[in-house]
Amino acid sequence: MFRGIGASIKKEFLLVSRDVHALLVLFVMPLIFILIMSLAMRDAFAEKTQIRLKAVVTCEESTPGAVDFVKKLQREDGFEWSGSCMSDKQVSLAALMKQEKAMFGVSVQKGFEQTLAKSDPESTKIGVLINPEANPYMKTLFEGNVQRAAMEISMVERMSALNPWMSLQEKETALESTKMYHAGYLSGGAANKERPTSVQQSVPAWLIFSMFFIIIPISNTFVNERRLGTLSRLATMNMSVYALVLSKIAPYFMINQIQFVLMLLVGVYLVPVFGGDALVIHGGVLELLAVSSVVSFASISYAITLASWVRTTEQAVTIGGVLNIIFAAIGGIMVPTFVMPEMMQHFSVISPMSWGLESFLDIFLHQAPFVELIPNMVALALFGLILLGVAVFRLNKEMKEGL
Amino acid sequence: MIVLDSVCKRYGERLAVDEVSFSVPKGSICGLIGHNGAGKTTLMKILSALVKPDSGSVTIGGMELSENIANVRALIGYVPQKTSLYPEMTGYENLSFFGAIRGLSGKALQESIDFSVRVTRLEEYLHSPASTYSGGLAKRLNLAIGLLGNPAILYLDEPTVGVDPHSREMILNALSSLRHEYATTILYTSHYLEEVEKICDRIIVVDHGKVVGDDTTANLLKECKAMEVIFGLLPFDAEELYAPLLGLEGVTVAPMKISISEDAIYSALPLVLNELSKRHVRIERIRYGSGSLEQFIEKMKTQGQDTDV
Repeated sequence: MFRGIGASIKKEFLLVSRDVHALLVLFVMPLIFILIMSLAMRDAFAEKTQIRLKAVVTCEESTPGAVDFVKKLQREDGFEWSGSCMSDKQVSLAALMKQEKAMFGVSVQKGFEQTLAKSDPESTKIGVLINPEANPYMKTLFEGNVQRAAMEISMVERMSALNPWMSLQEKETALESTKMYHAGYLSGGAANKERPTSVQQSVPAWLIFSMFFIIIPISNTFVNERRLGTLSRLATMNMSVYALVLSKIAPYFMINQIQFVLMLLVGVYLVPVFGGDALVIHGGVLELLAVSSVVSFASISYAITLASWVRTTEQAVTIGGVLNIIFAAIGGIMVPTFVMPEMMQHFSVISPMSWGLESFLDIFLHQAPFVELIPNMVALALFGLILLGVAVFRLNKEMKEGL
Repeated sequence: MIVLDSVCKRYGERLAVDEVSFSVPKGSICGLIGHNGAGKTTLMKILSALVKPDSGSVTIGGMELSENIANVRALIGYVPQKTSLYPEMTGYENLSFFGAIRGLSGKALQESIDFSVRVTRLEEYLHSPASTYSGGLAKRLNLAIGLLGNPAILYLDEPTVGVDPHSREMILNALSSLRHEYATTILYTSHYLEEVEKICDRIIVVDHGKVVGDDTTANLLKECKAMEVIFGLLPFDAEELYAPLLGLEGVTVAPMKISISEDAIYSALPLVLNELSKRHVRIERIRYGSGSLEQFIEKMKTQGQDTDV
């Protein structure tokens, strides 16, 4: 039943290796996408720079309280600050914001330190200016940061008034102890690991996209085999449909795995060369290989099924290409699902590409163990098995009715 | 070796093969001739178990085909009308691949490739990509693939269509040597009478899915001798020349050629020559031999009808 499998695998390798267009689609296209998207989306993905909007501060006094307040403001990671209490130049806050093209500004007015221990809002010496174009979420965040810094300074001052013998260190410790919650991260992860970096998103996304583009070489060979009568000839040599299908799966599975290794290497070594972040993989190798294998199986089955239905290479390229782009668009390949509206996020689960991407991201970000990957892997395997069944049924019928 | 009994095959409303019965003895070369669409390729596909007949029986090598598809296929080499191979691969890679699919490996595979290459004289081109082959070379490679494993039965579906005279000669010689050296049974479809006349022991004539003639080549062709008047390109509309000749019995016209069947030579030849002379057409050659396929088939049909009566 499976006679000639080895020769068929060799034949498929020969055909792909001599098909420049297929090689470009399978290897060069994802490499370019990974490089471009990792670099282009780097700042949009990086949490520290995502919200680093410009903010300025002006001081009309350089008392310890004012200096401490400004320090506390500037420790907030979300803004890129300019201005300080040490500056000799006295400029208006509005002028400085314009000069620095800042979205937010804080002015510490004369008499700031004297008003710290008072709780009278009328006597506050802190002014805030906000550019009307500022994002409302960032405005809320900025005001919250100013309020928090002011509260902390005010608390310290009040503690000093009540306990003059307390050192600054003791005051800071006391302040820290007022924190009424403890923050942690899901799945034993750490800060900044919940959302992927641009390279963590781009590598698996474009890898999966290119794996699904295996449809181009598979359908090209299949359509040509049918057009030239080679399938009939193989049938007269007693090659079964099962051997035919297996001879397509095996070599393209290997090609998919080569894509997988190469694209990971691109993420780890090549992207940093061009100034991007290096791909950091937290998960296990076995989990990665398992996901890569089921994604490959699903993509090859899908390609064989489509190839068994279409009659021309034009049909294969058009239908396969368009379906791939639709799968990619809704599956979080082109636009990450976490930036999609909730409705689209729910919708994205219909794309098999999203099952693969989610699995890869679970490994990259959460070091997800094998058991957590099972639902998506089963979905991909079922998708592949059903489509393969359809392809075998179709080819058997075709063989019986005459090729 | 090959026996068909009342085989029918219908594609929708069209009856492609209609109660066809014939047999091909072991070690013979049998020509299956007919116009395009006569049912030759469908018969080839039925014999290769690529198409299942609606009724009738096919016995090959003593085995009923429908019950022994794999065993029968092991006996046959099929050379399809299209050059069914991988153009991106070299001749050798193609032979090596198809040989492995036939179940050959190691020394047996290499010997089989050597045999096929020797018979089709492909040695010089073996390591060039098949996509660079001329039409004739590609057809020779197509034949070489069919010869892998030195099958006892060889089906060839119009193997010389679109082939240059040199390659055609090589293919015909290869088939003759196969029959003489290995007693290969060959079933050969063609619509070139001169080819069939040259290599076949027996001819089966198919028209509209029916067998209209089945006899030895010598017996069939002696009834169908004709004279062909061959001329160059006409400097006027060919219809002007053909119109007065179309009604003449035994005369058929084709581009640059007028055929007159043997029994009409005395009556029609002077008229044909007169028409050509009137229009100052320069005659290049007059040939006497097997007639055109059209004349041949018409003759077979007429004989069949006479027999029926």
